Amino acid sequence: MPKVGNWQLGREMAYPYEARFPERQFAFVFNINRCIACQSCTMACKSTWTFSKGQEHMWWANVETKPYGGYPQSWDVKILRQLQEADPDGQIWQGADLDQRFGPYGEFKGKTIFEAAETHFDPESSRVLGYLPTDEEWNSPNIYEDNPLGKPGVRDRLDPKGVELPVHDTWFFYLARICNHCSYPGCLAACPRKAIYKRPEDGIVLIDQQECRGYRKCVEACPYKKSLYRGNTRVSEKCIACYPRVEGTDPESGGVPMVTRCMAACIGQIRLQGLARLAEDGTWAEDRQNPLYYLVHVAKVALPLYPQLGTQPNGYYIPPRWVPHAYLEQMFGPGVGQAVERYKHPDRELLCVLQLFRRDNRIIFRYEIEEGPLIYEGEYRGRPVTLYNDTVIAFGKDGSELFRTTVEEPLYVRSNAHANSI
Amino acid sequence: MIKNVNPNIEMIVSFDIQMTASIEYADLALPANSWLEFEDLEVTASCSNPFLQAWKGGIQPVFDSKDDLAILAGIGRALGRVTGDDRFEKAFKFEHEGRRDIYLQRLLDSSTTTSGYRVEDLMAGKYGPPGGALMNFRTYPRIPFYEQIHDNEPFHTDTGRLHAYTDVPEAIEYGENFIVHREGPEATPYLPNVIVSSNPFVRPEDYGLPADAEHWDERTVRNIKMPWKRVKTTKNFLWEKGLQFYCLTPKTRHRVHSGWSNVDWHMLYDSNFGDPYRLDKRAPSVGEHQLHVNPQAARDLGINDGDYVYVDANPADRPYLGAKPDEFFYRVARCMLRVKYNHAYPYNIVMMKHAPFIATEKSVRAHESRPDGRALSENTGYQANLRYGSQQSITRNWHMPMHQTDTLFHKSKVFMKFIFGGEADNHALNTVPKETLVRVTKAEDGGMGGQGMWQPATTGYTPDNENDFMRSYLAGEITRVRKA
Repeated sequence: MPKVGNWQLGREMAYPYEARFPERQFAFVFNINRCIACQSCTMACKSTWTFSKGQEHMWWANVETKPYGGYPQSWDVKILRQLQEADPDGQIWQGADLDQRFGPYGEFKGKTIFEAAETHFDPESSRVLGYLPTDEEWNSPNIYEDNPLGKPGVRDRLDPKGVELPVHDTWFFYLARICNHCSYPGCLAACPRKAIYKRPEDGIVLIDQQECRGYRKCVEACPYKKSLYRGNTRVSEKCIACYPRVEGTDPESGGVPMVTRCMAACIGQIRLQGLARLAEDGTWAEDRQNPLYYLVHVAKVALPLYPQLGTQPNGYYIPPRWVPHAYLEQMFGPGVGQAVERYKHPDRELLCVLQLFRRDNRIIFRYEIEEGPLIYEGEYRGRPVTLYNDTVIAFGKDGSELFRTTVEEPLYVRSNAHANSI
Repeated sequence: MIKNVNPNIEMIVSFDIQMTASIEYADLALPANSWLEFEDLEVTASCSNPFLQAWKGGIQPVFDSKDDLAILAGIGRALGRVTGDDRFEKAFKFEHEGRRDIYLQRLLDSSTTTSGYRVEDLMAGKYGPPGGALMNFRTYPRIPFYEQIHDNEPFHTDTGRLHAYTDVPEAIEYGENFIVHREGPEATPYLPNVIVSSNPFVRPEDYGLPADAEHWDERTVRNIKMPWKRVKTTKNFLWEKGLQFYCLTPKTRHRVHSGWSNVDWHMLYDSNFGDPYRLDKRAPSVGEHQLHVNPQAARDLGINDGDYVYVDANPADRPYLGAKPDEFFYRVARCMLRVKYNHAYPYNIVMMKHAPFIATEKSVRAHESRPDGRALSENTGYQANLRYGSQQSITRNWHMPMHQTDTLFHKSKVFMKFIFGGEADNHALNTVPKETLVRVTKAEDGGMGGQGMWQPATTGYTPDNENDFMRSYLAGEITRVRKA
């Protein structure tokens, strides 16, 4: 297999094709500290794309409760188990975090799904380690909603320390997921007909419905299980990143790039989606005032989902601060400690950028900050904190202002013709 | 209601936009337009968000349905003809004339948060998107008691002040002249409805009702006061009879009250048992209702994750007054649903989400006779969320005495005025979540067709049934980080 550079792993890795990088890459950051699992994203996607016969089991966007939930059931437990069997006790991150765009989390010493397939499978029959979920595993897409990892119950007793911080003993969190439109997609690697392609303009990964014959190698290979088989058309389908919106060709868009339906529907304002500019080597090009670049490469509060799988996913998560770090590191890699710490004590710029999430249907390409007055000095989570009412301004693709918002929610006082006590 | 009240009502007319159990049990059902089908203006707002929305449908009504107000106006006109009293018709004058906007304008004018808005401007998008506007509270964000603190507005109490003591005679009589805690009339391990206080100025009238009185009315009105150290030694007779689970019925974030409870996508997403292909024909539809139970508590009762259980409350009044276990309606009314293991709930607490679509006599007959087993009523098309029973099987209303007085002073619910006495929604029953005390007993195995364990619980990846690998995964031991 050829070698490609995987910046999230801090090293080269085997991949069935030579690396090819799009001009920009569809990417998103989910702040899952804020997610309430209302499933507005799920239903926005379902009602837009997968409402037809044969798609009853199909949810391109979903929100699952971790650690027990999963759609399909136990997808991440199963792929981690396969990798552990292929590389017993070798799945380890090691090496220093480097302040650079290649290898910011250290180096992954274990095997990716591509490397494990080389040693574990006959390369001609399968290029990617994976499994095909059973039909039943696509059922109950919200299985174990709100189930924590908890302690055994004792009759007539309450748990005296269930909610202590900084980390809970009894915990769960919501993991919102769509296709990660990976830089090295497992689905694309596995397709024997080359029916899956990555668009050169925005890196969106699509299945050509004319070319697909429904062999389901992509369903087997995608470690995130975001490629799904449809029985009545006998071909596979996947999240298309609402590409008419991202292109600005959707009738609603007026020619301006828009965020996907799941992003636009997010009432919890956990989502920020954009198009990252890529360098020639496939790393993110320096784009200091792009909010995604800032969150991933400057503040480093947003981390890739299961980067050790090797597909270089383009979905990033601000990890939930109340969850034990060993579990989070298993899911998001070595950057967890730093990300949680910075999110718990955000600096002036981070606080501004966090205001940009889900404020507009148009994609933000750049932001600027206008400094405002000091509004609060005090203590927060055991540390001194200083808050300023800065204004953050978002700009679109053509450089025009999309919106501006402030750190502090503005207060309006109306005349006494109106009442609050009603 | 269904068993003991409805049969004594001469005629029940109900209208709705989908087939509910209320419609199924009505003598006359009138189909209302959905929000998409509205043929004239409709408006909504909520007490908890700052937006006003008005709109006028979009698509032609799919069937022969009408706007709610058109239905009411039509009933008024018909009653006018029957009675010869033209006030029934005149009450809806502007609706008959196709001028619903006049009503809407009056509503805007008379509401403190919308006065100053004009309907035509609202619909033209002068205040925001067409049909949308901000509710003009005194402040945004809405700060409680803003005008009491900044202006001369009195607090909405009988004295105009906040007070920790009231000399209302009923309050003195009921032992609530000071702020006190009452244990629940039902969901407590201690004496039901006991007033927990050592305050010597709390001297309630107990009416001579004994502490062991069991009737729901006696428990509701009885005023026994004790300090906590004595309360601790008391017992609830229901607890002693083995009803040792507090059942919570909170609202779900996936529906609006019971609304859309039987929509396919909702059912697929609302429980552990969503299955669009209904491989287990016992399921009422593509999903079903569930009871969250602490795994250890379930195990102690021989209940596995995914099993069907019966949930029973005090048999004296539930599932209905005069229930006889051998009658068909008892099967309809007795709550049966599937268990979901969940460590979020302490040992003695179970949780069933509020207001699923109830099993009706017709849905149960369908479930028991249809080849596919769906709880889909014949000839009405009503789809139940449960095979048997409902939230109402295990809960009841508790009309607390202070809420039943004629002297209770408070602001009216939907109008800027003050009133005395209880008021529906504020103090009277509706479908609000209620706590209750229940017993849980196994009904059927969770496995396919009632054989063995529910399949997912056999994988080793589920709560309280973890295999060694799952335990390592939960501890974060599979992919590890070694710092250089």
